[in-house]
Amino acid sequence: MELACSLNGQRVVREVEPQELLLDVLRDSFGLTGAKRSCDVQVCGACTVLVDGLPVSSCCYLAVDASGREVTTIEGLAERPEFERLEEAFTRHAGLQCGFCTPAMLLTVSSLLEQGELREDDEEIKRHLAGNLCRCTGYRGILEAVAELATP
Amino acid sequence: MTATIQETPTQIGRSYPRRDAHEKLRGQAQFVGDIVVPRMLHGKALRSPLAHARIVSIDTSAAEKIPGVVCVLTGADLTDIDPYYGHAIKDRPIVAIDKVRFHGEQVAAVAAETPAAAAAGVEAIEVEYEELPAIPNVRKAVAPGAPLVTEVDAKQGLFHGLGELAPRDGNVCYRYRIDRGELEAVFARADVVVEGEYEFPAVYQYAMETHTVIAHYEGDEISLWATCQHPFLVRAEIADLFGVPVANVRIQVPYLGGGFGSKSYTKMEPLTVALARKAGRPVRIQNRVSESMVTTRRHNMWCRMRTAATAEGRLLARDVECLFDTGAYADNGPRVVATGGDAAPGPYRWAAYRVDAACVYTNLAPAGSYRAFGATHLQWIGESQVDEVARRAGLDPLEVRRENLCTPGEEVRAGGKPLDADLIGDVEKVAAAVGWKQAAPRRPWPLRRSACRRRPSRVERRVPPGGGRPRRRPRQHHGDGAGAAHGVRADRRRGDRRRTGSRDGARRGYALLAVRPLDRCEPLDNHRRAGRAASRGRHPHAARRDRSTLGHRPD
Repeated sequence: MELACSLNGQRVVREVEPQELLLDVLRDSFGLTGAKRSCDVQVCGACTVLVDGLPVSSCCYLAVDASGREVTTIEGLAERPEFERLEEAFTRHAGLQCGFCTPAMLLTVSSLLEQGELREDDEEIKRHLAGNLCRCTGYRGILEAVAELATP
Repeated sequence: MTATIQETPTQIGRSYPRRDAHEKLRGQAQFVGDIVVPRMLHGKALRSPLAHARIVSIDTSAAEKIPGVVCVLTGADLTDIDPYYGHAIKDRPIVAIDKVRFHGEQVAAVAAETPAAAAAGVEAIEVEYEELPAIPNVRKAVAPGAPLVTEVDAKQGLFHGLGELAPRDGNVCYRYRIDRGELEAVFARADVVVEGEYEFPAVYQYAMETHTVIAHYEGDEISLWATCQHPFLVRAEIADLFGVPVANVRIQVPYLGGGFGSKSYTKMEPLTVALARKAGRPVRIQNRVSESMVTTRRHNMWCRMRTAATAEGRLLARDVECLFDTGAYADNGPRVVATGGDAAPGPYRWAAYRVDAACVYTNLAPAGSYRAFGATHLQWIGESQVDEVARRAGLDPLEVRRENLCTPGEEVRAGGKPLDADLIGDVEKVAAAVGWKQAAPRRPWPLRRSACRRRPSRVERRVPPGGGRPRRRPRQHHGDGAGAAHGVRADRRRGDRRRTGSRDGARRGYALLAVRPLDRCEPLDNHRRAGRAASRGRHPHAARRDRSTLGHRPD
């Protein structure tokens, strides 16, 4: 089947199997390894990418379903001018440890910021980030970074 | 890099930006699963559906005919080597031989051009089993007449490190015992005796990144990219297992997506190497989470403990019996049991104590390290009993600890090193911080974890077995004032690389950024083991080799 979509701002066309997952296509066909495979069941969020600006778990998202849509991975997000602000906040608050969940965390945060969903309130940030697990439990730094980003 | 030497080393306690933040935030940090080696195949293990069974036959012919399948590995391919490994006890075959000992054990493995072909190959392998009675827990394992999990008379592993290995006693593969003082006499004159039976649960460490290994076997050279916390040990074990010189094994650990003990010691490496050896091409095995969960876990434990005290809350004696469930293979069990057994009395002054800790085989997945292994198991119970002593004596639990905790200079274990931590001072600080007296004088919980946690000092930890001068953290200093600190542990979770640089730099008075931790953890010679005990540079040739390699290392 044909997958024709916008990937990180560029139009791409690829032949994919109907059962192929977006995560595998991104990692194996496009070499975009920022999205990570972990739980395989849409729980941990390490495979998060943005489809039409919204976070999805690419481990449970059929590649063909992305046809006609706009897919953004961390590699694409990192090229955008607004990424600098995210990077700076996460660096300043040490909102990362092993780094395995980090790209996905940033994609989710960027999407929430875009939609104006984030408030400074810790509880609300936690609720929004519930789909992105950090097993190193570096949550304090992450919450601080996001709270700073959410501050108008 | 230019020298930046500060007048006083004042960097401890200050925050610096993480050196690895940039790559990690941008998704550029490379993990083993992100690495593609030319001509690499995808490997997958066939895992046992039974907890305990004899393997009657394995038919791989259908699997081998599947398009894309390159080869199928079984125990029959390992007759030219001694296929048993284990850093503590060599009790585990690379793939099951003659029988399976836990649900999830590797019975065979397939190497194929695609993950889908590998999965189809695994499906097509026919195995006939004859089920055997399974041992589901430690109590059944030590009962008289219990079936044996293993008949293998295991040899001591390369890193047993616990003295001479005693022969296996039924299903008990290792025992740790301490017996001090006249235990029964002291119990007989005690006013208060707290006694209980406890069960400590197993958990899976759950690193976000599953165990992933790429292996390439070329001639008699083995290259590995592995998610491992102990690259030096794994390298030595792989060399030993496949009968090649240590110098012929090259292992690289890129960034590690969490470990928490699950990637300690050798895990998926032997199977991947054996598969690559048969395939004649590089092979990657990437566990699913469900597979990692049967690769390792924390030990569950059964324990009976009793603690004797006077009516005034003075601790007198403790008696501990515990059975650690190490599953079908020892893995790090013996060390976990030794640590747990040692932690059982806690840092208290006792007239007598006895510990009998056993590492027991069952038909469950093997258990290994998990965050401060062993200590958690017994401190939870020991501190609970101290709280209970306080309750029965009508005393504040804080007061009981003040009275009974060892003080600096005292020996915690007879003949051991003197205590160099101010435990009572620490407990007082915690009590003040949580508002102990004001808020909740009867709530014992905030004290449990902190009261008894005793870590040896950095210097003490580095004293080699048998005494002598403390080992130095391996490091190099370049003539220009910059330095390279070598963390010989892999970057397990939170930037050990960065911390190595920070500590070392601070002590030496270097500006932090002038100390460059190694980018990758890669053993260069055989004179370093793991973690804190490593002594890079002790060997006269080591330093020279390291320097020359560093000079050519791409940043």
